[in-house]
Amino acid sequence: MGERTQNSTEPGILATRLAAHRKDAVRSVWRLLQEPFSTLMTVLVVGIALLLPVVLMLVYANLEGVLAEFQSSARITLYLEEDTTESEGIELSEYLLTLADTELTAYVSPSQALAEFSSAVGFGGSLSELADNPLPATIIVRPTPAGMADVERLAAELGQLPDVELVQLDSEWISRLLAITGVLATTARLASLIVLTGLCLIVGNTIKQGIDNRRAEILVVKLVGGTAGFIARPFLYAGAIIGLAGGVVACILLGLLTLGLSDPLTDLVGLYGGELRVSGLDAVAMLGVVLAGGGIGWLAALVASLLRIAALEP
Amino acid sequence: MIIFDAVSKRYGDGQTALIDVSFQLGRGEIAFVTGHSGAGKSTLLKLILALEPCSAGRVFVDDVDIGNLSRRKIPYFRRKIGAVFQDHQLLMDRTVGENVALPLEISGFPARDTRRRVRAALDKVGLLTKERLYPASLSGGEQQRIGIARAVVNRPRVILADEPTGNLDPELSAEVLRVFEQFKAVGVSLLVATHDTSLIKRFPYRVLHLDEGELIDDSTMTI
Ligand SMILES: Nc1ncnc2c1ncn2[C@@H]1O[C@H](COP(=O)(O)OP(=O)(O)OP(=O)(O)O)[C@@H](O)[C@H]1O
Ligand SMILES: [Mg+2]
Repeated sequence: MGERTQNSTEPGILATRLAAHRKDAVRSVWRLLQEPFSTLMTVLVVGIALLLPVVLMLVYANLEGVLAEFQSSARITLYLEEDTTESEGIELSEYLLTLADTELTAYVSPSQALAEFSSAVGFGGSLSELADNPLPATIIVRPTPAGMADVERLAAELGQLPDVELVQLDSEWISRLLAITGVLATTARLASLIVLTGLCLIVGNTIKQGIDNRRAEILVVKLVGGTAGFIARPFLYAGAIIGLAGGVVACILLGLLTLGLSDPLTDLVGLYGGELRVSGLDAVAMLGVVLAGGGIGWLAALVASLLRIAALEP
Repeated sequence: MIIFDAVSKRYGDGQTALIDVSFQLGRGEIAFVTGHSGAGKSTLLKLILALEPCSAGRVFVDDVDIGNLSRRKIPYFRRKIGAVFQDHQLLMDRTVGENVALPLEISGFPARDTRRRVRAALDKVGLLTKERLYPASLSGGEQQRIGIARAVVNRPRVILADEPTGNLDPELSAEVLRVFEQFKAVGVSLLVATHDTSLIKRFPYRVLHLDEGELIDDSTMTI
């Protein structure tokens, strides 16, 4: 007995622990490799399950980038009262530029507007021959980049100005898009939660089967004084290894996916006047996915094995 | 030190295995547990290992009331006891050496000390040359001795042996008993369940005689 106490106080205790852990890790890798097919299937399933939340996260991140871009292209058009003179209009425009919320303002006189309009619709000079120009003077305001709510508030404020007859915010579709994105984000979070729960069940079930396969061995270890923690250790390694491998699979699948989707998506966003660089995962994020997989695998294995091992009695 | 205080054991299916058994076994004492098949010998040893709860009465090992042990403490309690099982209970996918090393691995022994102790234990039961073989390739008697080496490797306070010589010839049986005597000499308490009467005759230790679960005789056999 004396020797045992002495041993446990030696500085070598850490080395002993490490050696024991290494042995368990090697043992669990070995056992996983003994059944290469079912191990491969489990890892692939885990990889695919991990892929979904990651893809949703990425889609959301990319979408937010696009939306920010769209938002900075928001324009507020102020239609001025008919009796506003050109100098009053220019003065107002310059005043608006001094506001903190505006980045750029431009006064467009009725004749400029008519010229632009007729060249845009292709009537050439014929419209400018109209005796009475029906178009009002306008001021176009580009707000400093901000959230849609701020831009909307600014537009409402500008509508109160005395010379302004009508305000038009040409970005209502962005607001709608934002609302839809919000719904999407919530859905994505829920879906991820469901998928991750499923992932835990998959890993947990695999570990449970592994424990049942080694029932006889576990009973022997219990007979000679093995704790549940000791018995669980190789299974925790197995869970973590399956999770890590699943994370690697998810990263590979994601890489293929971004490669395949990058061009069509860029084109699509281009159609709406946005600019998109589809960003995949950087090295740090990939490491995060792999580690998250390992962590989830470990946790699922922990719960499954402690429940299962407690149920086995010699 | 083992104390049985009016212990009865009834299994879930109504089988009564032990009835009102009381005895004390001191440190450095050996006792045989005998009786016909089904008399309750294995049951008595299982109670000490906390593998089964008592139906009535109390069992103490080194002043620990086993009935009061929490689930968490049972593994640590079992490490103080070296047990040889009637059905060996070996790990067939590990070598003889790894089987014997199991109790040390469980209590976190350094690798170097483990090797030394495993070899010493195997040497005691005459299996040193079989360290790297797998149990399945050994005879029944050799497998039994693996179990004995595993029971003593951790230098337990108490050794419980259930038919440890069941598959051994008289020569080897005596050898095993001599190994047990070495532990008796350093203060270990030993309970050996057996119906090998010739062995009991050769080693005149105390005998606890069970009949239908009752302790009908507690005496030192002198022949
Ligand atoms: N797990 C169990 N469940 C129900 N009854 C049991 C159990 N184990 C033993 N018994 C019963 O308890 C009684 C005593 O059994 P035990 O195994 O202690 O006898 P034993 O003296 O060791 O016999 P043997 O010499 O054949 O090994 C028997 O009648 C047996 O049927
Ligand atoms: Mg028996």
